[in-house]
Amino acid sequence: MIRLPSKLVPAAFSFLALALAACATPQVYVPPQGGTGIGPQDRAPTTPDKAGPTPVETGDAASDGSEKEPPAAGPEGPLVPLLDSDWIVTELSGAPVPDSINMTLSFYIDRTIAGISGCNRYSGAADMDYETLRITALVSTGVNCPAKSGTLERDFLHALGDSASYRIDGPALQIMGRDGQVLAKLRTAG
Amino acid sequence: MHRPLPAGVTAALAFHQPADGAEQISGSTGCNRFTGTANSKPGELHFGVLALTRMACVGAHQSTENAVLDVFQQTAAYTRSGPSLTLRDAGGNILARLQRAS
Repeated sequence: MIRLPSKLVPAAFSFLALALAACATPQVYVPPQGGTGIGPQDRAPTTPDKAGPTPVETGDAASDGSEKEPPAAGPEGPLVPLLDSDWIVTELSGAPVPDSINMTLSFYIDRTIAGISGCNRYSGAADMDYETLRITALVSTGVNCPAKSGTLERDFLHALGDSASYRIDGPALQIMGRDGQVLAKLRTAG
Repeated sequence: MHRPLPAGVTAALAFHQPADGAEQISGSTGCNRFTGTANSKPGELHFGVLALTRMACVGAHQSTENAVLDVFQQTAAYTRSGPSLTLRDAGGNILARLQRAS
């Protein structure tokens, strides 16, 4: 007896969670044995010899036998930390950003970003996956700002425009340029 | 790369009885309503052209609609487990997670 229905009709579903980018590779889950050279299980649905225990039920193999979700993931699966919070800029090109300067960055599901660049508000487009980050189409409001925040603002927007990759470590986000140099350091807000 | 739908935004997808080999679908994108067709066989799923209402949307509703329509375009496979439906692209990457409406 095949347990899973092979037809989707008739049934009604509600969306719980959406992918941001089709090229995104699932993260978070690491096979229990190191050194297998095989990535997250989600990525290799047809690989028969992947690491980790996989209680495959015969008869279901065509539809989901080899695609068990990471056990730690909830019903919505692994979420991307980049999108999970708003970020506050703490450092630009190695120089700390004073607490008095309000500099933020938020990522949204429709591949856009927005925030405050110290004085003005800005928005832009972000092309990202689990490692790379490219920010384009930056636009900023045109308020005249105090000299100090104006300089930082320019540096920040340049850093965003030069971004090529990112790394998240707990509450810390680093945005790197093409050569791997750290352009900005941020932390989660709140 | 996934994010729960924004608060207050719902998107839905319903499959109806097949006609001419293609399943009829309908639902909402978080903003507009749609009808269309989908082709599925065990494990595989492709959405056809959708007819969409043309309400103007803003903010989270619009961004959700964009994301949902992207998902439909890229869907090539599905997995179903109990009340959960997962849409995947041709590479097996998860595009969306859905739950059966009660």
